[in-house]
Amino acid sequence: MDQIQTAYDQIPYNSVSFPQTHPDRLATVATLLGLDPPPIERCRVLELGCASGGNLLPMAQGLPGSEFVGLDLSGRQVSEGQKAIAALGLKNIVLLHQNLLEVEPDFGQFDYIIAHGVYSWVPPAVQAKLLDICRRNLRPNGVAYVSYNTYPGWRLHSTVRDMLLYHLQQVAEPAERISQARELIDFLAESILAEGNPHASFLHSYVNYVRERFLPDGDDAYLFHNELAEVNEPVYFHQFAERAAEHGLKYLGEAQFQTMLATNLPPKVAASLSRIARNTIALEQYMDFLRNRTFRQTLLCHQEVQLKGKLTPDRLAYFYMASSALPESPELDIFSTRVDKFRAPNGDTLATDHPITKAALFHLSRMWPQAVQFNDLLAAACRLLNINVPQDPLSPDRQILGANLLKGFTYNEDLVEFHVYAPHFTLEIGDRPVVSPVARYEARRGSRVTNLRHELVNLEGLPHSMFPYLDGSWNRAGLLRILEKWVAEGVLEVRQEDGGPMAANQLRDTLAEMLESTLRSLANAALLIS
Amino acid sequence: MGEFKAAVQAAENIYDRVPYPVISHSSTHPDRLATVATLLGMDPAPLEQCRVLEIGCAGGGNLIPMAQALPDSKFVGIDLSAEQVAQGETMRTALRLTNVTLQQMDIMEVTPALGDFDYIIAHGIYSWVPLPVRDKLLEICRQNLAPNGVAYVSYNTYPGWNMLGALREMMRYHTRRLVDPQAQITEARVLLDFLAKSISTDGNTHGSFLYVYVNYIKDYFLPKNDAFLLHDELAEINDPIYFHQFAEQAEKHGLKYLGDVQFSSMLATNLPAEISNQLRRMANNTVELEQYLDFLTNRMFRQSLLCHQAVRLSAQLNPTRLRRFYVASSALAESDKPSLAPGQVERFQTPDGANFATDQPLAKAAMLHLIDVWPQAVAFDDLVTQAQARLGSRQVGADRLDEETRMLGANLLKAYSYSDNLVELHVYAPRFVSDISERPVASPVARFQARQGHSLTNLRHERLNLDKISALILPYLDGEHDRAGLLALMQASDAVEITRQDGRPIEDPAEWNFALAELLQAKLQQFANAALLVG
Repeated sequence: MDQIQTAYDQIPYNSVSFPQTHPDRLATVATLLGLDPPPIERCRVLELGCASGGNLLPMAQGLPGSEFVGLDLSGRQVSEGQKAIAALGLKNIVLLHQNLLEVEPDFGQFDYIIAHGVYSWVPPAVQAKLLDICRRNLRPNGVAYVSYNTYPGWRLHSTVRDMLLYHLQQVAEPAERISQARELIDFLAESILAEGNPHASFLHSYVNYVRERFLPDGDDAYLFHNELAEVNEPVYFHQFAERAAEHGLKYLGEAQFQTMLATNLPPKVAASLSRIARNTIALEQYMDFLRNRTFRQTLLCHQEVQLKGKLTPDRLAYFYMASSALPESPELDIFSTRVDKFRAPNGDTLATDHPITKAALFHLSRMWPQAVQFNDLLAAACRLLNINVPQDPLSPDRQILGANLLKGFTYNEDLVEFHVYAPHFTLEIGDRPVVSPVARYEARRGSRVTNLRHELVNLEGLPHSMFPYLDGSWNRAGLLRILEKWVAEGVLEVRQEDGGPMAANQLRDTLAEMLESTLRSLANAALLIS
Repeated sequence: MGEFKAAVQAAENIYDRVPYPVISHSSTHPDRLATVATLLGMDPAPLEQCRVLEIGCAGGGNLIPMAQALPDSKFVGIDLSAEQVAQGETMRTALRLTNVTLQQMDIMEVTPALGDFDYIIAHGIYSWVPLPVRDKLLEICRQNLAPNGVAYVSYNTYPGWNMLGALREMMRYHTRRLVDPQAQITEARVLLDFLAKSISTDGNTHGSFLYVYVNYIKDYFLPKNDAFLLHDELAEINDPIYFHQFAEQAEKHGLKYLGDVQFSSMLATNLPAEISNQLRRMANNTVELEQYLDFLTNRMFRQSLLCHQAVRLSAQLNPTRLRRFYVASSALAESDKPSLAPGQVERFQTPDGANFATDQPLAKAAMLHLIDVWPQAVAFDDLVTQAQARLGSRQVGADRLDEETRMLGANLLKAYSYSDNLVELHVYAPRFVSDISERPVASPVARFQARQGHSLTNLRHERLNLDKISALILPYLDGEHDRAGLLALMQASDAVEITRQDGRPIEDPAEWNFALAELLQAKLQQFANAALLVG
């Protein structure tokens, strides 16, 4: 453990947010699977391995009625996080420099426990302790999130990792390890002959894949802690589930809900799978085989928890939905029963002939990225259609809408997102715009900030430069003056389309437009709170 | 130790129930071991009078053909499976061999009392036994090895086994509740088929890598290879090891890494110059160099040779050492009319694409001679004489013969280092005939194997498939039967089917007799070319 501590003190991990670890996600999946998880607006969250709080801080800001505790072995990272907490004046979060081996039941009870990127990178004794904490410090209806590297995918990955470790046997200094690792990958990518024996040609394409996918410029901390870590113990999913059971924990589901379902496979494959696999764990294990899975984000609950069976439409009323899918055709006809398609940015489509579903998706596309509670969504759809809202929880229209949205979500959450709450951010830009304080703090140190949907957003250009001034102390006129000052100082350059300089009044109009579009882009990125 | 006994017990059962095929492994022959050892500076025991131990000898399929071909050497084989040893004993008795002993014995029970051996062979054992047995195996390689002895240990190795391991684990998971070996084999195939059909190759890069491997494995384990699938892939224990770790283990047991039976795999010189230079910069010694080579080739299997730590090796290949060797070549000249004239480059190549070019008249003449006499091996000095004879008026003069002979040696060594398909080196010439006599005699081992319906071992210790007609004729190639007798045998058998080129059956008796004689001649020629005839 001393080695681990030192490694993270030397090369701090880029401490960032992981949307899939947010209690919202945990509660959403748990609810879908029949658990009644604690409300996230008033819950207690523990993060094991919190680094400098990059994940926990935005949560704490977004859920002021909840409490957050983070632990990390690296003193340097924790103290950085503590500085951020003080600067932001957050009262509902504590980060502790503490070894998780010292966590006992009296440390406190939590509704949600998060351990992201820890399990595979610690020795077996610590792995066992981690699961022990998930059992003993988790409230009866709580949900624990544990991510880990898994086989069979990591078999292939180990090939590259083993080569790197062998090559670096004699190299101790972290920066030197990183630079030599990069050199070796380059050497291998160029030296393994594509037309050698079948094994070599296979490795050739794999090493090239790793070089492009995992070793992009600059992400040294990722390379150092993931590929070159002293300990890296991947585990098969079925073995992880067994270990969890030994600790009194039950496999609940995956944070990436869609990966649990065989229905996303071709029908023939899904049919064979259901013949072969006798239970959920076996089914998912075989799917891991098919997908050569490398990584899992598993949710656990207490073994004693009785999960409610099939998801009933009335439970859908708990959820908030959001969707960035757009009507495929400009002649969307929400009133007719002809089939219309909605297309997500990734290209997936949801087709429906159900007017209320069409109206609901149309409404969501206008509200994006806001999430809308199911009942409100139904009401909005009915308003668009000029019909009465069906009040009976068992009315067919309610059920069809619920089933369609669920179908979209289970196929790909880019089509329809499910949430248990609507994060507070605004799409309306006031006179004194305010961005998320956490994001403003993050923006001082780099271009990557966390939005109120707990996603990473990359800020570039004007949005990044303006960020410090979006704290409510500047109104539009003041912000415009700042832009004018930047132009005068030559920091900001504005020219005519033909490259010539601009007249003063034209310049003001142009800057006003630029300001508007900057604020609009920040609002759309879920970064504005008022 | 309690746990280990249980594992051994399980091994005993499973090999009794689905025996490993009775086959020979040409790469384990003492000839191969001695050749590589000699090239690396050792003076191993002469093959014609040596002592050989095989650990895990199964049904003697590897050891018995060696014993027959080297009548003055002594062979001992041990195996845990009583049934397989009994099977080997039947073969030994039938062949009346007295220089080979097969015994049922646990590796753990081997002591120095078993004797000293010049060559120790442990093929397909190391990766499939528990840790204490692996240690014991290396201990035997030191304790029971003569000072100048060579030990052969094969094992599964990483990185290649990372991917194979993933498939093995999938098959093991899928068959985890099955006890019956046959059911395990069937279900493992069901899984492979399922994976091959179901893995999506688009979108998921990892998936497409796996897809390539599943199909590779499916092709590798054809239905006839059930025993391999069971014992190699589904075995309780299969612990691959990185080469550098194996070398460390050997060292811990007082042994030294000598080299690989596949000599060309040791050399970085077969890679493009830039890569081999970079490799030499990165690697501080032989073991490191070979480890990096394994990374580059994704190697999955090794056949390592070990010797005592006190043995002095020479890293430099010395062409003068070539005088100790017999040379053979299955290459072909690229040109129809190769020229022996100086300055004219001729290229020699093998079906697998390896080739080498030379303009040295002596080397060209030597290669042409080797091509003529293939599969016979020729002593290096005789090869020089034959090449000189072939050169005729262009013969190398006495003043330059030493220098030219040295160059010939260097050329042959270079070709061998590139691929032993181009040029083979041997420390002895197995005795077989290339001419077909009036009453042909096939190797007794091959005759026995043909009667049993097993695959054949020729006098080059290679494994050959047995077809129906060979199974019919071979047992009668005992020096008692002339061609007429063999023809009568073929007449009487319903195994012989001949159709005309246009596909119609032959009805005319005269035409049939003629066709049958042609077929017999072709078969006998095939046997001669395959090094199966001894008289």
